Amino acid sequence: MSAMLKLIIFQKTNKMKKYRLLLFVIVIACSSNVFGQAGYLGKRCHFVFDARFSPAILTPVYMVGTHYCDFNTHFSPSFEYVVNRDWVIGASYQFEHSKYTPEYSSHNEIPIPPPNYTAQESDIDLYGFGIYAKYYTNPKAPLGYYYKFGLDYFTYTATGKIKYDYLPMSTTFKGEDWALGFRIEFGKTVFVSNYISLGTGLSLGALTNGYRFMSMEKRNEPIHQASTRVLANYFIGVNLTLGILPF
Amino acid sequence: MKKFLLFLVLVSNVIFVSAQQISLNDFYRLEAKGQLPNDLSNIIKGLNFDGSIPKNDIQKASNDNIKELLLTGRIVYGDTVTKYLEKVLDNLLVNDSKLRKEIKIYTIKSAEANAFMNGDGFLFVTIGFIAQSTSEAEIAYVISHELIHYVKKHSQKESEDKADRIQTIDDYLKYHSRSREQEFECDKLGYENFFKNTTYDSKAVDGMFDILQYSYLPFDEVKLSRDIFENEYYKFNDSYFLQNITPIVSREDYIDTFSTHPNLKSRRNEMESIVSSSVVLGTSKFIQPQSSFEFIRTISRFETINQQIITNNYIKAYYNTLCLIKDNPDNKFLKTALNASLYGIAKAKISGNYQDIDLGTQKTEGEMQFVVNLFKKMNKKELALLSLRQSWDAMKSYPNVNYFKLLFNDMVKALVEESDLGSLNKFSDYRMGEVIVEDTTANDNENKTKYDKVKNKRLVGHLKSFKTENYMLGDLKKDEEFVKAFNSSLTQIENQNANDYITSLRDNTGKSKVKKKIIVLNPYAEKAYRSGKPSSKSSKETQTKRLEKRIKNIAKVANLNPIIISNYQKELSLNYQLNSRLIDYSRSLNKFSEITYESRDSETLAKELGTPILNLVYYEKKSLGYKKNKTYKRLHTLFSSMTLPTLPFSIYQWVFREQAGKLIFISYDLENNKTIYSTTKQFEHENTFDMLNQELYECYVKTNNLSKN
Repeated sequence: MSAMLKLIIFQKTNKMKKYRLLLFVIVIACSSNVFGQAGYLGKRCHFVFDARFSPAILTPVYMVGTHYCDFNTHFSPSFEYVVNRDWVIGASYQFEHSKYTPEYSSHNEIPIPPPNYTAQESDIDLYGFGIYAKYYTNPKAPLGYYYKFGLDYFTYTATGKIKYDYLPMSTTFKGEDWALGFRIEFGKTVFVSNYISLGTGLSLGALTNGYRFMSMEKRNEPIHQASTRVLANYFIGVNLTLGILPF
Repeated sequence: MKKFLLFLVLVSNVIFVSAQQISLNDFYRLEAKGQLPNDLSNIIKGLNFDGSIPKNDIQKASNDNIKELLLTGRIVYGDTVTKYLEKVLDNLLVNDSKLRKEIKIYTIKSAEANAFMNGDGFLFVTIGFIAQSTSEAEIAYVISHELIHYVKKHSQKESEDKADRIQTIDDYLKYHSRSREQEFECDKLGYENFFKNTTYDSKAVDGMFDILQYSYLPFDEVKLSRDIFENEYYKFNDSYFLQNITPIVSREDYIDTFSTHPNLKSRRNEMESIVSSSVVLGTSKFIQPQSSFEFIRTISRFETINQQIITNNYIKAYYNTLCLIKDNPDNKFLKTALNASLYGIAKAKISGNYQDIDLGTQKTEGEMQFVVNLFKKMNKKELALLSLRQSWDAMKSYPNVNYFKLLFNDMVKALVEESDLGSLNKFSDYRMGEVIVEDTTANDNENKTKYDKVKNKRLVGHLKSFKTENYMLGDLKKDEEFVKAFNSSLTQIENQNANDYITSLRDNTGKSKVKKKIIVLNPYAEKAYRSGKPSSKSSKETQTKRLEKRIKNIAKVANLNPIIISNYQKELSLNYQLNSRLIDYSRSLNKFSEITYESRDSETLAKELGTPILNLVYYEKKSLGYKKNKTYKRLHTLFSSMTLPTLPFSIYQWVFREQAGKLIFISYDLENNKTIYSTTKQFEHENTFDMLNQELYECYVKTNNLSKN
């Protein structure tokens, strides 16, 4: 390990310098044996499927119309690696499908009453990826209670239709935007067998669109209204995970 | 014809006696002989002796107790002692062959002087009773007494408070569960129905009560003197040696209102009147040859000493050995026992655990008080050196016996590590108080060789700081063999320390590639209650069986091949004799020393088991009565009530309270008499088994990596 470190730190060739940081991370991850027995029964690679459920009491969800006890679901299949007895790092792919009802938007400076219109429930499709680290309170990672700190990046597309009464045809619109999210989660993982895990947790998150944090403030553009929906889904959620720990 | 038969009997007796004398010197342990009898084999399977299913709880409980005696290797069959008891039973039931067929008599390896019978005809006599008896007639009377319990079916009328009194198998060996009326009945009818019909001496009736009254005392009352422990080179402090011994004041007229047994005085009085009113009184102390009785009594005494050493009752074992060795000074077993018990006493003191073995000078009666006081007063250095001297003496007599070398080396190690006496230069070459005469020719170097001058200078005289212990090797220093052995032991200790250091640097985190066999002996689990109430037998059984499954699973993941020997097995995993030896080995493990009494043949044991690794696991879980992370669970439940799929999981989180788990794990190397890995882990979890799995896994990986291939 020390030879590898010397190679990484003191290497003078340009190519090696470029990948120095990456190599450093890999060496630390692979040589984390120095920190003691890690992993559940010696197994460190954890494949997890996470579903985050966020309440949607008054707003529409992926099904048409509103229903009692509605919720939105955000899925993220992930790969986790147990670094040592306390920490697990992971990367996930994320996707979500939801709906929202766009409202009339006008660019007039002089406020005039909005025209009559009918807005159909429009789709939001979200895709992205994230990286995270989990810290286990009882040092037996990946078992027990944990704090999870995640960084997500995703793009979302809002598509829909508005029918103004004074126009014969519906107007379709489509918008795209991106968001960067920070999420904290507290939860617990248990192992029901040597290979299968179950987990649950509670998460809080915030989104930013580059230079500003997204808020629930209504904006004029349908895409901004969609972002409100995305934020609401991201803000709070109850997680369920199912995992496999093969090696 | 009659003369010829008599001649044959005499010749066979001579051969028998001489064969016995040879075997007594080579005595090692009392072992069962041959295959397990069917009646006992059925008990292990959970059936009655005849293969039928137990009819009621009393029968089941009785079978369970016998099963535990079997699985702990305490029952002995097919051996000389049991055959002797069978002949005594034959003599008593010569006129009742039907009853004779129903009774199955066995010996129990227990130092308690007792005999007991269950409702299915199993009659057990302990070696402790035989060791304390003085004649065959006394054994016959106690058997007669027990037979009445069977004939009158007393076991079906057992008192309800039995379950509370009998928690462990040792309680079962100590206590009966009969009423006082039943005991009187058995004393009387045992005499009238069986004993009186033989020629056995009627005085044995009173003799049997003597055994019951005084069995807590050693085999004999032998006055000891300080000469046994000192020699011309060193003398201990006078306060170490008691001048007046507390007389024996055992009471026979104790108040028996709350006892299951009537007091001995009332039993004696009752029987005295019955015996004196008998028309014909027997006078034979022995029907079988007296030499046979003495032989089996000696074996029983030897085995009692074995049991006492195994259970850390070292001081009593030491005194008992001294009582016997005076008549057999060259007996190898007795020398071994003397060494082992003195070693145990020394190690208990060195490790700071002497209170665990101390019998209490005030509580001890009789001549044994002499050694109780002596060992209590001695300091750890004196005891270590006394043990060292004794093991050296044994090494000279038996140079091929590895056990004595183990004890010798361990005592040298104790002197180095605990007492700073790890060099022969710390011991004087002179006697305590000896006036050292200056050698007036010391300066006359013309007549001395270089070696004489060097040796003269090397002699260690008196120093102001010298105490008794500094004189305890003065005579042995003149023995070149001793000096060589001592220095060789020092070198071995240094090398061992280096090896241990190197082993500790090895990477213990990854899995070893070799799949090793490991014996997991009697894993045990229980659930402790906060109220302190003991868990039931069925609960212990359930918890233990779960632990066994877990161990099997996890040890395999850690690349080990576990052979689990369970308290609840229906078939013996090993043959009975090997199982018994293994149990005795585990019973002899203690916190004082890695070298135990059963290290005598641990290498052979390892070969027969097919592995040198012995593993002991104990797990206890206890509810802490509170729940953790309540705020999180409340919020989780609140939001889950709005998102239905997570609600069941949320409610599930509330079901369990925080549990405290305690795992004690020991793995031992039989070949090298060393602990491979030993740990006590305490953790908290919410009734999830995965935490225990992980702890077990870490323990097994460490065992696998640290044990030699």
